[in-house]
Amino acid sequence: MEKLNRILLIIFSILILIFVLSPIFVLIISSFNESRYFEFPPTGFTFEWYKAFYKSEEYQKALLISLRVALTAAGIGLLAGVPAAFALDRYKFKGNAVMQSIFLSPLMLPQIIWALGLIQFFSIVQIGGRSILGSFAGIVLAHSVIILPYVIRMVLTSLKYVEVDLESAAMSLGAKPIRTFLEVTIPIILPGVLVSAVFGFMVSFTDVVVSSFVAGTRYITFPVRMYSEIRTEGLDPLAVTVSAFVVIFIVIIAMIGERTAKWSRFF
Amino acid sequence: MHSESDIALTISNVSKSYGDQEVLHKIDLEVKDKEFLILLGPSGCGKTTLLKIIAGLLPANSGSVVLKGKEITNVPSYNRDIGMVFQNYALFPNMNVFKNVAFGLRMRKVEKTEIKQKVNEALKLVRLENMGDRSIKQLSGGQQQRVALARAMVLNPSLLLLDEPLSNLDAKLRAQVRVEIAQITRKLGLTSVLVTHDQTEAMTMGDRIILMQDGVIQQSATPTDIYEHPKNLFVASFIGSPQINTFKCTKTGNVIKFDEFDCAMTAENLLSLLSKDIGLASIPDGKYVLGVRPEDFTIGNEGNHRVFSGKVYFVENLGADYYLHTKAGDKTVILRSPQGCDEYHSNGCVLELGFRPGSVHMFDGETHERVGLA
Repeated sequence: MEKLNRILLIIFSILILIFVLSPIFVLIISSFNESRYFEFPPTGFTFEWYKAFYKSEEYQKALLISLRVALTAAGIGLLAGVPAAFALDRYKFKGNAVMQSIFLSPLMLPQIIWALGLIQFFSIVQIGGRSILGSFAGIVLAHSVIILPYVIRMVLTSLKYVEVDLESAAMSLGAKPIRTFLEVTIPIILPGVLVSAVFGFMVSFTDVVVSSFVAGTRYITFPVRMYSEIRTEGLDPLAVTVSAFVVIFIVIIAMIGERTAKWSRFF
Repeated sequence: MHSESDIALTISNVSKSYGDQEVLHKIDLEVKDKEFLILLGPSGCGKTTLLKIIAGLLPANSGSVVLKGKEITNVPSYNRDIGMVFQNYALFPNMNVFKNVAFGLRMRKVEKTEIKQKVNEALKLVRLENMGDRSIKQLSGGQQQRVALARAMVLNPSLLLLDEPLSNLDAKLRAQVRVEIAQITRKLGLTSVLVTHDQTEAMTMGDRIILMQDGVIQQSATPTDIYEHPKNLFVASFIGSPQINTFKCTKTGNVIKFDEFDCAMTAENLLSLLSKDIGLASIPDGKYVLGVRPEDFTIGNEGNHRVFSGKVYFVENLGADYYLHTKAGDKTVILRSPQGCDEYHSNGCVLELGFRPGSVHMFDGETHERVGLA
């Protein structure tokens, strides 16, 4: 009986793994396919599509925009999120719980609804006489906001590892609050902060909905470019290859994250 | 009287409340130089709050703290000349043993070679020499405890504060570390304040015990004194294991009658049994509580003060002696009986019990204060 249970469990697990991983597997295999048409199983092997991707100016430009947006937004997310998480963790002020819910609300709302509101809001907000809708600042700001809940959540989790007594101990040993924060608190939460930065980067880098609403035409991000290419050109090998490239890129980041910071403990 | 320099720490009129709830009520206390003081009490009595106020980790609502003649009430923790050992050790996980112990010296900008020398001395003192390179995670609970102690002591502070330092250790280790801490602090001549809820710790480690309840000091006395002369019923009940037996009684004229079971004695008879000499005038008619420790009973023909009989219903064998659980009427009476009186140590055995002269504590039935205190 016990043996049967084990076998069933293993079969079930394998089925789930196949279900989750097969699209990615198909994608990566297809990106090396010789044929001009999307087909599986592949008929030949080629690096042609990766070369085409490397030569495509549009994709390159979009990739660069995405990288710039994601880096800046992750930075802003950290600057706002780390102090916010610290305050939420340490000070039991009135409305603490409400604040936490508000900070996490972008996770609850359908992004498209939130993005709609953002368009309306951005069309009012002006910098130097111009609406920030469609500007670099606008898209970075929007991404910072969708990153923030992740940063706050992860930093809150890592702050749980810092016992308040540790900070008290440092102070009783003669460390001023700033020294205490730098020498005791920061080293302990650093892995969490780094992971939240990487995760924030990924959230920004993979976002389609919010970007396509607020980006306008000048700052078309990588996923938005891909999406519109697929919409207009259909599922061509280039799009498949670009997708495969993104998957590989993300898997590498995830592996580094797990190796260096064991980041799965923050979810 | 002590001269100024004999006093290491003076706390005057310190109160602390959270909202409506008062945690400390006008606490006054002094700690003598090189004294090992215990703050003892049940959880929630305010002892840890008081320690944190002394450490500067919590502000008091009122009152003052004076350390070595210097008022430090509003001095932040990092500028106080103290060392503190925390209940969960609070060792920095991102630093190894050496760096943990060196932290305070580094904050005080001590020279590197001196730091090295002092840290190694401190580690040697707690028997962790050559362990400086170890990471904290590699250490056992007892070793972590000793690192925490070394980290606080290496600064040679005017005052060493210990917050329940033994409560995370297992029983065997606790007994060992208990002795070690008491020895080391006395060897170094450190003035120490230790918070605990464990009366064994308090009795064995302290030069003096301050017993607190509900934010008020109940008694401040040496371990012997607090055991033999408890100021009130709370102190008598808190200190001692098994707990002191209490007998409610009523005095009418010359007769003292027990309320809970059938027993009576004359007032003169009772006075001769009390732990403190008082006259008849001190006990007017009324309600009283008698406290008798488990070891202060006479059994059988041992004494001439047979008072009542108790029926043994449960026997605990502790090796060196026995705890006999007996019933006098419906009242449970626990007494300690030495090895070798085997005839008493069986269930169902009925014992003639009396009180050992000079051992009975008498408390007012209303205030629970010791009778004849003033």
